[in-house]
Amino acid sequence: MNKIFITLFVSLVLLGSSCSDFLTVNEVNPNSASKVPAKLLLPAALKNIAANMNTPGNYDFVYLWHGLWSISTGYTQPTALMQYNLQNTSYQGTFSSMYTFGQNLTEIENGSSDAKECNYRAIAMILKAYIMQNLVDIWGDVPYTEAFGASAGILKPKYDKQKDIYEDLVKKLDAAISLIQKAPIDATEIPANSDIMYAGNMAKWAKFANTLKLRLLVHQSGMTGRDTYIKSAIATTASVGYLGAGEGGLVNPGFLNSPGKMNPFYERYYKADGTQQSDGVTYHMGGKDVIKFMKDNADPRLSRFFNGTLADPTIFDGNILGQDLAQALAPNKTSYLGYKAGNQNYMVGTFDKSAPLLTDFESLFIQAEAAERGFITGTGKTLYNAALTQSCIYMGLTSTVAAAYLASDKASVNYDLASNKITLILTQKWVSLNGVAPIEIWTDYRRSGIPTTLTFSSDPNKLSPTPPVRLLYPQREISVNNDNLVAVGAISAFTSKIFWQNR
Amino acid sequence: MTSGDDGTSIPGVSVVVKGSTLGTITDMDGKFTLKVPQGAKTLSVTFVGMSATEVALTSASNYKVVMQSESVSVDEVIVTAMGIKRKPKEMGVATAKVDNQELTNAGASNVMNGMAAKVSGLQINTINNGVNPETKITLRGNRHFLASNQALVVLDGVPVSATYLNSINPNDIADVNILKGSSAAALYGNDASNGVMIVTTKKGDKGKLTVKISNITTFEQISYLPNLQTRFGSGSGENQSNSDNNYTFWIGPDRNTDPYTSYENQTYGPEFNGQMVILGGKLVDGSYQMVPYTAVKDQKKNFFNTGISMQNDISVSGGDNNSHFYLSAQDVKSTGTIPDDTNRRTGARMSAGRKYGIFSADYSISFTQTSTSVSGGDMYQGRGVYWNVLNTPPQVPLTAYKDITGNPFATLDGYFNAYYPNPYWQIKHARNNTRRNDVLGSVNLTLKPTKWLELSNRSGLIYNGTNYHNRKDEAIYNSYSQSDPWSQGHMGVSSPYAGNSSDQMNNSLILANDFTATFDHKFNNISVKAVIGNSVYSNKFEYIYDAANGGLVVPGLYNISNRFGEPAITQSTQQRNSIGAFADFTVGYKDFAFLHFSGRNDWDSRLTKANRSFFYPAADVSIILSQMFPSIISNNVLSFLKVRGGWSQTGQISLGDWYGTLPQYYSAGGFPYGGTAGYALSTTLSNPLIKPEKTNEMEVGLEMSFLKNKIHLETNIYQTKTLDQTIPAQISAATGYYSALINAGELDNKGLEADLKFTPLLNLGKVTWNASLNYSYLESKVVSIFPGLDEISIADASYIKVGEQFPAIKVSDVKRTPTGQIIVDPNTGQPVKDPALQQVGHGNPNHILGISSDLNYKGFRLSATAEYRGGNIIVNAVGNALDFTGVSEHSAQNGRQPFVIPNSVIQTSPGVYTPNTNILIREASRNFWVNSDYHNVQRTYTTSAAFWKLREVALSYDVPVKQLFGGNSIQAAQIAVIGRNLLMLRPKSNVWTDPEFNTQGPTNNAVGYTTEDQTPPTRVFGFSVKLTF
Repeated sequence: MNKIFITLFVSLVLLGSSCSDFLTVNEVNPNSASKVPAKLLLPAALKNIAANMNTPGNYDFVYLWHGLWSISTGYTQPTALMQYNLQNTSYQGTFSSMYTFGQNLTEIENGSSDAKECNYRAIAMILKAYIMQNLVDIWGDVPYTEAFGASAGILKPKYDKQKDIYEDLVKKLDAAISLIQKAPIDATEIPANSDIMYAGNMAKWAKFANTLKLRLLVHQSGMTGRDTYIKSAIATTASVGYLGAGEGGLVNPGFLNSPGKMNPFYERYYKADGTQQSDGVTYHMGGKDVIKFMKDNADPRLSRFFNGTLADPTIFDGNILGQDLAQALAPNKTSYLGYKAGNQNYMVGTFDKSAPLLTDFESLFIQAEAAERGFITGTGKTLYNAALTQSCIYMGLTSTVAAAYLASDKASVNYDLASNKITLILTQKWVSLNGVAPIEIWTDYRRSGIPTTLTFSSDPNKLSPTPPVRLLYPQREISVNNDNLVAVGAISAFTSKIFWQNR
Repeated sequence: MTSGDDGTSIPGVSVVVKGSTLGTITDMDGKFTLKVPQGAKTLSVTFVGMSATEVALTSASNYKVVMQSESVSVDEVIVTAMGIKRKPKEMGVATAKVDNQELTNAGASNVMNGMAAKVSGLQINTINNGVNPETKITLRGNRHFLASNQALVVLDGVPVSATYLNSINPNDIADVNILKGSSAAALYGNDASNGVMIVTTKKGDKGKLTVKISNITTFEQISYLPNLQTRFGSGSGENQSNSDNNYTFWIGPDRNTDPYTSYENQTYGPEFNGQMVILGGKLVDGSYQMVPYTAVKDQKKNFFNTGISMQNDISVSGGDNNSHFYLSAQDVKSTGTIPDDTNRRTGARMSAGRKYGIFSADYSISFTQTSTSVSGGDMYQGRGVYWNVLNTPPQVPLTAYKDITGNPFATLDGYFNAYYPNPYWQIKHARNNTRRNDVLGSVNLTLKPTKWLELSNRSGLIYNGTNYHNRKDEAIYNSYSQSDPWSQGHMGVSSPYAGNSSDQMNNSLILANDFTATFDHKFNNISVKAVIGNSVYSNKFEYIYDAANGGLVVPGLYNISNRFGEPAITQSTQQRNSIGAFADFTVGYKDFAFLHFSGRNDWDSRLTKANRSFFYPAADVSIILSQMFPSIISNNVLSFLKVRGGWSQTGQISLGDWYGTLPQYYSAGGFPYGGTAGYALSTTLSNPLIKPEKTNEMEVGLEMSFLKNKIHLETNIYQTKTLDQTIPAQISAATGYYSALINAGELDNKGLEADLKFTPLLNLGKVTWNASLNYSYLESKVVSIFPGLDEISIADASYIKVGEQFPAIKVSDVKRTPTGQIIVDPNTGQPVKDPALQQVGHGNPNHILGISSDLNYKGFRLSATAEYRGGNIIVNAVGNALDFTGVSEHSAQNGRQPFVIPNSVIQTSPGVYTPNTNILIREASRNFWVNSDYHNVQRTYTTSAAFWKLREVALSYDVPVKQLFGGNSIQAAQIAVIGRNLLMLRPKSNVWTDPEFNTQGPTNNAVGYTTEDQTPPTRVFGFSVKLTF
């Protein structure tokens, strides 16, 4: 009987410990992919970039500093913003997110080295130029040549000179345009569910790239002795053209009326069931400067950018950041950001409104300025009028309404009456980009000082008469990449200007 | 009764008629008298430290008994790693044992609570109150920066997670062997570095059938609320006269406070004066409520219920020479201090075994179901019930709003508070329900073909299935609330809530098999014990989560299909397998010198092939000097002396994600949108080269007994160094990643442990008093993290900081002088926030002292356990919340009148300070306590975390049932009154809460931070009845 036990025992033990693939179970991840094609990376990259640009909390400082928005007097006022008191922790999320988006674009680039994959490669290069431009416009010198080098072991990338980055971006955009132009006949076409901006229309991507390039160059227009460079750079791809009416770069993955899946601007303010988010529209409200400007000019877009007050819907009014609360408007006497349920032509929009990267009217405003400065052919007036018309159309108004507005007797509207065309263009651009392109509003003001009539914060304790000219480097970078940051030199939020600011 | 050592008489010796409970103890002179029944044949004589002996009864009436002292103090078997049984004298490293009696003494329904303060080196924290509280359990502190530091629990030979102990019936446990250091535990391989608790469940004893029935009923009450003020009522500066509902706006005589605001949650209004005021607003029908403007007595305390817990147990056991069995069932039903919170745990266990010659088989199986229902976050800001209670000004008759349907002022719209919901409404309309099923089974087969060889195979299965079902009802306000009647942002305006329902189903299955072959032989003076074996382990964990995030359509139907929009769904599978091979070798010389080695090699699937195999060595030595040199105990002061020492190296794979060596692309946020999918790369740079964290531990110990083993002292000093920590090191985001997973950094611990036992401390014949003390000192130090990185945030205020103890607590602070005085503005008297966080201490205690006392008189037994902890600090973030609401005494300490900040200074020139004696904080009410930097910094609410707690008190009486009822049916009966956490002493500065609490879960290493999510501490008292048949 003991032999039976021994046999039984030994066979049980052997049964328990024999298994062939036992130690390889973690070599395949059942929860996430270990490799995915460019086709799947592109839509996420596009959506993430668009979401960053269109999330109000990322850039509300621009709107608040430039007379476009205010904080409801029903809330504790944001002292740091009122006093222009930036910290290394202020708005640093964009720095990190932009680079992680860039890493995904790098993955697309690296995975598309085959000549047939030139379209993916070109788009990745264009979008990378887009994010790098924003990084430079916010922080100046940033890592560029050594960025995205973790796989090569570069964990502390050096900071490059902002001007060098800008110049290289122009070259990269030229290269991307060239890739598109020289695409082989059998180049992989990008399906609409991957290219959620232009549905694979590479001609539009070329124009987008060329417009982005023009934007980079126009930014530098205030620099002394820079015209020759600007003009020659523009000339190399002038034939590609720029984004015209209806060609704006708008991202839409197919936003759904569901939490986390809506247009991010809309979702900041409204929920899937149509009710308000907590501290949403009751928090961000209208700014005094822009509402006054639009009222003075009888701007037909006013009721689209803002709602009438709760107390009286026919009255539009806004507050000044940092205003003494005793004199400020009560919440029910301040305009909310423009909203009408189900209508995407109001500022807050709808859950399924496309999120813009670069609108057609912004492109036309850039072109108008470029023409006015003699950088491109075309007439300033035509381009300016087209820009305002497209802005009206974007806000759901007809071209007839736009035409009537353009025929206004106000010198701040009518091109022919305006004494300074650049001031006219950039002031109307400031109005038009409200809620659409915050970084450009900030950049235009920094490089040109336009609009010239801004009130700025009324906080008596503010650290400077005018808002900061840049953000401070993120605390994260001080913690983990300090040596390279030290090499950049001391940074002041008020005097360390971006290289294109010459005033 | 005399001692064989020196012939002196021994008092306090137990003399029992064998086979009965009839007995006595010897008096001061060592004499005893006992009437024995007819037919009694033997007296059984026992005394601690002496070998038990028996005396055959004859017709004589006088007996002289000589007792011999035992060669070692406690000669029992210690179950060590892999179930290897070793004698205490062989052990070269520290172990301890807690038996069933100690565990269940004060009726704890949770095993861990029953162990607190009883053993040195062991720290048990109840991290929050509740009907099913979570506990955190560490042995000799923390060894890992980010991975769990919870001790490994081995239940009947099967490794389980420490949280599993919550589902076990403490009455089923025979004992818990604690292997404090990683040395003793090294044979468990990968998970052993945090020390091991070996839990052995009861088996049926030889003899007749025993049936035990018991009931424990306990009551739980809030013991300490934060200190609250009773002087001021509602007000937050709103100008209610400007609104359309101008009822009772008035400014108190004190211009420093805010006007009374009828709907306000904050309590910065005028001082109470007893006049009648309107509370809240008018209802749609025009009705309104008036209350006296005075504090309601015990208003917040009365919100909490007395929780009741009923614990019913039955067990049946028995056995003979070749077999044993044990059956038990338990039901624990509890209600909580928060109304409607309930928990019910029902379980059954069965174990049995049988021996056939050289072969024996044992098995055990248990099943437990635990159902918990607690209130969830509210529908407005997701805040807990306690927060909404705290946001109730003192004049509000809070308990009057219990009837949320009958009382029109208790409804969503009728409730006075414009900003926070009625907590009673929340309790009914936001519920988090959990149901957990646990099955544990093990089969142990043993073959002993010869005297010196034993083959053993144990297979274990642990299944856990947990379902979470959380629901929140819709909160739809009437048009009146939505119209914002006070134009100040009524919550009805901004947040009608559409309801939500979410489910999560977890299941985990662990299969483990261990085979050991044990050779045990003695060659003259040399004893040799060798064990070789292998171990196979597989752990698979899966979960699926869904939520109707867009809101529920049909109210009250909590089903994922009943929703607006897209559901949230996530799913995950994690699996890991490992194989281990080990050997354990003990050689003893003449029973007084022992040398022990062990080694284990693991192959673990979580690491890539190159790093998959790793080895853990351990060695220890034990020398019993008192036996080696008997002369040293000849003076009768010292009776036992042993020195020992051990060293080990253990490893732990600390990959949070078991697939962490692979690059990971996730479905990006929001995706898929219908047919559009999108993927993004993880922001953590994966690392295929990750290897285990290595813990080197060294310890030496001394065991001594004095005065015939009446005093026993055991001390250890140890040092652990844990290297190659697995950390997601933050890297420059410009790399495209936020962090990179690397092996770097070192955490060291140094510690001292001492256990002193007096058995007895005092013996007065019928009264015996045993006492014990245990003390642990632990100092940790973060030696390094990663070049260029000197700190990592864990969570809350906890940091890993080079050169500091672990975890360092860093808090925001106001600017101070180098000596710590607060620098204030010379004009306003206000302190200014320091932009840099300040490190002000650390989160884990350096000192833990446990004291137990056990007083016996006849059948009565009074026992108590107390514990002290100190050396650490805690951030009472709840203090900030309380000052925000203004209900705290802290915020009323100056009567809301202008005051000078104590111990403040003014800077006259750089680095030169003069004391501030006259610059007052002028706006000393809401403006200071809600908006000032002094309020906003965490330092204001950071205090010492020291405490003394009376953990357990029990008074029991063994009813002499045999005398009363004869010995036929009932064998034993015990009744007891019990109390737990009856008393807590804290430093005066901590006016807030229990510093043992913590916001993070048991596996997170961030400690020393509490918020309003931790409800106030409670005390528990009750009674128990235990019957044995």
